[in-house]
Amino acid sequence: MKKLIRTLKQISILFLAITLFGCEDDDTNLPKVSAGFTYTINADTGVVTFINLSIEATSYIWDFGDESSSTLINPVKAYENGTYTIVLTASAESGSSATFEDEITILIPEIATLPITFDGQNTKYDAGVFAGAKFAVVDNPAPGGSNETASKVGAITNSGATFEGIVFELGAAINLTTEKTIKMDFWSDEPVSVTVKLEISENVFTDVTVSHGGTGWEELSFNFSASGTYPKLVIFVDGSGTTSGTFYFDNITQEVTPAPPCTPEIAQSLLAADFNVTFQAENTTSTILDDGATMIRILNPDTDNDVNSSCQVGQITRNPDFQYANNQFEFDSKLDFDANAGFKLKVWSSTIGTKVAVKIEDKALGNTGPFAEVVVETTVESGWEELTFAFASGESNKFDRIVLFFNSNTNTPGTFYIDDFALYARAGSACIPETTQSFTGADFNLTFATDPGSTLTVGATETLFLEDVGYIYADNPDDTSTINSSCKVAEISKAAENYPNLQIFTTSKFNFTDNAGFKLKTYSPNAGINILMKLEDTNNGATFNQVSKLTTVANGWEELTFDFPEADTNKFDRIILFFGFEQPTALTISFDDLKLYPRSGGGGGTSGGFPINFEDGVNIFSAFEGATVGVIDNPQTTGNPSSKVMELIKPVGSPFFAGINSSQGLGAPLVDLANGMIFTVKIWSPKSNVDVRMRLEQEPGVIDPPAYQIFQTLSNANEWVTLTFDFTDQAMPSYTYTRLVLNTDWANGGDGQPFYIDDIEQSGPTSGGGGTGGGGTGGGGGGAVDGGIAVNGDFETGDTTGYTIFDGQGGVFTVTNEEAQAGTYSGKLVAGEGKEIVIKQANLNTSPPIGTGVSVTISFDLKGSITGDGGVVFAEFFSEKSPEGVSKAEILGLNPLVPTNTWTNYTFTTTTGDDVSGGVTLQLKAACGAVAGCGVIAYFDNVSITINP
Amino acid sequence: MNKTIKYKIKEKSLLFISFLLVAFLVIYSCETDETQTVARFTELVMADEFDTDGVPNTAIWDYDIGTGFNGWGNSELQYYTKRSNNVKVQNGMLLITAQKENFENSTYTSARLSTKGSFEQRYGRFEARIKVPAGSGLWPAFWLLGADCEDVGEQLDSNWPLCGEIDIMEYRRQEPTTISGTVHGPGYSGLTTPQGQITKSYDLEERLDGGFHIFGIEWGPEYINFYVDDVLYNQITPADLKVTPANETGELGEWVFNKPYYIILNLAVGGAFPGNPESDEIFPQTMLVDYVRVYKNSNN
Repeated sequence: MKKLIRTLKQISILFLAITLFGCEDDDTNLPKVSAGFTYTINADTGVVTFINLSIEATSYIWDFGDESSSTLINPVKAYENGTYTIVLTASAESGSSATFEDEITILIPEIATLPITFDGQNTKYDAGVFAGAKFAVVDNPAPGGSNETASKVGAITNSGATFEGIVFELGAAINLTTEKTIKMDFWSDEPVSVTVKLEISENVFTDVTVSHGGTGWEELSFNFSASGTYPKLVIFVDGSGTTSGTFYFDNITQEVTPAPPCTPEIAQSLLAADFNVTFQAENTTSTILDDGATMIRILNPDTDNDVNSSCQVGQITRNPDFQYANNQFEFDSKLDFDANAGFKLKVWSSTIGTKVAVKIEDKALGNTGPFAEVVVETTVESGWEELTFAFASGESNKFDRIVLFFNSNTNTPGTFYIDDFALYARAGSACIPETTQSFTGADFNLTFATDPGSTLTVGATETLFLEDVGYIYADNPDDTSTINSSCKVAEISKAAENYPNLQIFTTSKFNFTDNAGFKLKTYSPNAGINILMKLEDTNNGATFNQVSKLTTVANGWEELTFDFPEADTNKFDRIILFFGFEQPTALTISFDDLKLYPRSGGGGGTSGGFPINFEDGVNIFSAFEGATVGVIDNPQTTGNPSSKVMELIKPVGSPFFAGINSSQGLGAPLVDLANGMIFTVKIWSPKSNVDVRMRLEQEPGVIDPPAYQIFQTLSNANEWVTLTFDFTDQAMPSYTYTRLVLNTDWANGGDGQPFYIDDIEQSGPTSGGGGTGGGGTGGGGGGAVDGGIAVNGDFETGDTTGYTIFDGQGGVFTVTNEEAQAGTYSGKLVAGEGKEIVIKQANLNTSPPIGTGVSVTISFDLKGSITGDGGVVFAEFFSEKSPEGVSKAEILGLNPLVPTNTWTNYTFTTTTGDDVSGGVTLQLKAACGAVAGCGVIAYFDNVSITINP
Repeated sequence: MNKTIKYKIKEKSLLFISFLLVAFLVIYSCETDETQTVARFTELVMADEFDTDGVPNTAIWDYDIGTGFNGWGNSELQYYTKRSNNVKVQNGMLLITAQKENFENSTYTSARLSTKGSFEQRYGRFEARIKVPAGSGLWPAFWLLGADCEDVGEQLDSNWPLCGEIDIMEYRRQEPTTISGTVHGPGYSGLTTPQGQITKSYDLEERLDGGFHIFGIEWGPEYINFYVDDVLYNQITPADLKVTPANETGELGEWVFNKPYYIILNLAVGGAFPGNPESDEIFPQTMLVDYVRVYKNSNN
């Protein structure tokens, strides 16, 4: 009984009917329709998600107030800025209906983009923060100094941690191509360093650090040398230090880097003995004559360059009515071409290929007498270059007048600048005569010890076969060079065509068992000239291999290396050298010392190449930011008996990033990834647990220089430790890097303690040469392509199966039969102004799961177009953690892809990160910045993701 | 809400009672003479009908911001904000909207409102009319925490579960027609064995995300009754507390529902209860709240 009673009690407690609804006696009436809605607005995009609250309705008509409508229950609508009245008409099947209306105002904020003033009424200044820093927009706390305006400014509050800072994801990326200076007003009441870092990704960036004087508002200028496009702007205050406190900044702008001040002229001569026209002073002498071309002295309009920063130059304006317009310089004595080799002349022309002629005459006989003339074409567009006009010693003591022509024998107008028109000394005794020369495949060594001459006969050996190039057996244009001081070289010229070349047939095939490849010295007018060396079998042109290298030095000697594998041994007996391969501009370039070099590396005698062991006592590293470097006797021989090592010291007061870089000027080798992507360094540190950075970079301006770097921690103090920097994991372009940078004790300012460095070695797998793959994927059956672990990689399901779509940003993804590289369908991404579309092969996994550090090859075909400015196509690859986060993220190829109107295959090989518990993701993206007229169409096909065995 | 480990406890006696209950209750009736059994809490003491567009009434609602400790103790993915993108009143409804966006190192945003410090009450009828959002990985909730709760979900070191928790409504897509009512307290937090939180689910046999439903409790000394719409489906009393050997105290869990509690409304994304979203294409997703009302016993 007890239990029953208890149960009853519980029931009685629960027997609480709850009347929540009123009741209407409406059973006989049709349901009454009411209309209603609410909505959410994505304030950043103007996308409104309507939520229908209508009752008893079965159909709906939405009037969106912009002359568009919908009959969906809960439509989603993207609005432009404006105010709209939305009317919802809800109807029942009975025909009764009701309406509800509401007004929505859309005001899409702009994303912060340079110039950043923090005063935009409708601009989001949302900076991300990291490592403890905080960010806020506040009123200028102390108008004055460089920022007197009482308006909003940004505030950075440092917590006192190292490397804390803020980051802006900009509305439009910063393009440094022409405007390389970032300026900002910055407030601090104590001296502090400020770093602006522009990022493409964590590993691809450029940064500049400047000092603030601590006087309140000061204008800081950050002068960059890179030329990339950077979507993120990062600011560190006292990056490596632990300064805490609040700092303010404002008025971030981008401008052209101010030209450095010009260099005043220090000498001038109008005499035949030491002729040197620098325009140091106005020359009114009657010995300078204008003949159809006027020459006046003006301020140098282009001082920001290495060739001619002098203050005063000459401006020559050619009168088109004078076919042979010229300017003349006359002398009281004859010109001496025994002591002098000819003239140098700095020229600035707006067009490449301007013909500049220096003619020397006897003024008594005028233009009917004997003369000598040298014509040189300009090779730089709208920039200074130095031209050389060499005259043989046989012309000595004959001429006392110089006639200078621009575009002689034409009737074109033109304005040109000239400067530093001077005799230069004949350096005949300085050069070192060549002693050997060989045309055999075992020890090929073309030194121009003697003139090999030229031929037009295919197969002729021990001579030069010329295909559309000019050849001169010439004097070394710079025999003072430490790289090439030999007397004789080859001067090659070509017209503005793609494939002129020079060929050499040898008497036997090349030995690549003992030799690693060829070295070639070049003297190029510009960096970036593409030298392609192709080796062929004379009897079978289908058997070939080729390597291309870019020159990195303008008007100076450098040595390029063309490596060939052992497998190429005894296959080729024909060298084909293309100068400016597929660079159709006229070119004059010198080369010398084309020779095989031994595979064993050591014993070669030259200081070039790895390993770098400093045993010759020569220091080939430059120090920067106050660091000091030198080669010394090894003070710590325990664990490293080597007799010479490099000593690196960051003095007290030098910044954390002070360090050293290899310097070609000091004879350091180029860093050619073809020789390996793993570097080891022996380091002796006075402190434990210091970070060591190795970075490979291009000299600015060579190729827009992404830099690649790896940090390693050196745990033990006071002993020699070998650190390994393995770049094989980084999808690096395979070009030659000009600098190897080392920083010891990264993250800490200098303390004056010495680090010792020795035995920098290069080894391991070589660069895979990441870029584009070969031609198409074959025209075969057109059937399904093996996509590896990709799902529907060939889009042949005809729908979006396998792809996760992010379409919230206004772009469009469709699977279409408009285009297909193979089969019927491709995936089409379309983005217009300010829109983007991202699709993913997301969280792909396999059974067993993909491992970490596994090699993966991603391939796809791409076709399409980019119109206007601001459009990009990216492919990105992620190693995903579970449930979220990524262990590795990279932009494939490191750069945007450029779709063209032909299908192009892109193949990238990379490795997975250290956590792939969430699988891997391939992301394809098309996007347009907020640039009017921007449009991107990208068709993708044959997407494959293959795990390499 | 703090259900790091969720145990399915089949409370036989409760089930038995509940079946009886459902049988006794009138599902929908237009007779008005049932007031003899009407809830005892009839005096309205707090109501927000969400009739003023814009920011929710600041006299009632405050916000929990951020990600708390380890995703509010549950590995939730969202960053809670009070931006209008995540919370606002519009056209008679409170809208709590989960957005897919990268924000402050989180990949989703949403909102969590609470009456802590502004409205706290012991006993009474707490109810809200809510339309829960559709979609995987969403975790809408209407719940109460003891007024003495400190830093729940914000720090590892909080006084939960001592301070007590009453979950009036929690919902996830895995069980689209089911509502569950739960209490957590010392000895039955969900972290203990054999007794986890004390919970009871009820299957409406229609998707909850299809429309508005009223979720509420009637709470008095020694009992908490959970109802949805007109169905009273769960009663929890001190008799449901069990000895918790894992604590090795040999003591009963403590009944802590005898002090003021405050209200929380939130929409979480991901975490242990609903799992993470299978797709981000469903976002944004909005939890609609028509009203929140609290009554007390007019005799008290």
